[in-house]
Amino acid sequence: MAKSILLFDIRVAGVSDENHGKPRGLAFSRARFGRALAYAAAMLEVGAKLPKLTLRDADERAVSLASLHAERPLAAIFLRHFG
Amino acid sequence: MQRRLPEFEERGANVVAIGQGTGAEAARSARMLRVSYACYGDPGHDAYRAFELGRTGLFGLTLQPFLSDPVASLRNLGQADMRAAASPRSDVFRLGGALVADRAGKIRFLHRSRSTTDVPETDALLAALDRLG
Repeated sequence: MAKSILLFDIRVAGVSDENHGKPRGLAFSRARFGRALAYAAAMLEVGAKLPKLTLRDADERAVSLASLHAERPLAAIFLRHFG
Repeated sequence: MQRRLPEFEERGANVVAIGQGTGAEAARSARMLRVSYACYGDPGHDAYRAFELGRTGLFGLTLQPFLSDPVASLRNLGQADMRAAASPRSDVFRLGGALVADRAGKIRFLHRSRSTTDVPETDALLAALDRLG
């Protein structure tokens, strides 16, 4: 049982010789799953602080996002250009 | 949102739009959309990426809006800033969104559009501002 778990771990870790020259299958999926988890954990959600960002005004001057909420609450919409 | 701008102003909110491209391109898009509040450009799409705003596909950009709401779709197309859309800094597949943040910079409302027809409810933004007290 322990041997089979160890073999499974080696295979999912992608270090098995069986993976040479072939798609990594489960190893690839687990890596992708790990990245997806990290991505989800890093997503901005309600309660998080706004990130530090710099925008440009109509005269191309740099405007920090922080300056937009410094004095008043901020309501921002993200525009789409098309359709 | 433009029609209900006075309601945002009553609540003391700083209403802004963020557009793709340079500041000038974003301002022109805002004029085409007839919004009177400040509009800022995001030439590198850093803000769009930071807020994880999604992207649609060709179907979502073309056929899906017509199928779900033909009238609104045609109206949106009429207001579209084609020049900005053709800019190399533009990503026509990028979806929009909206947020409300308090003065400390804490996000109190965040909407990521899931399609081109998924527009944030103005009432939801106003309610978020009301909750700030």
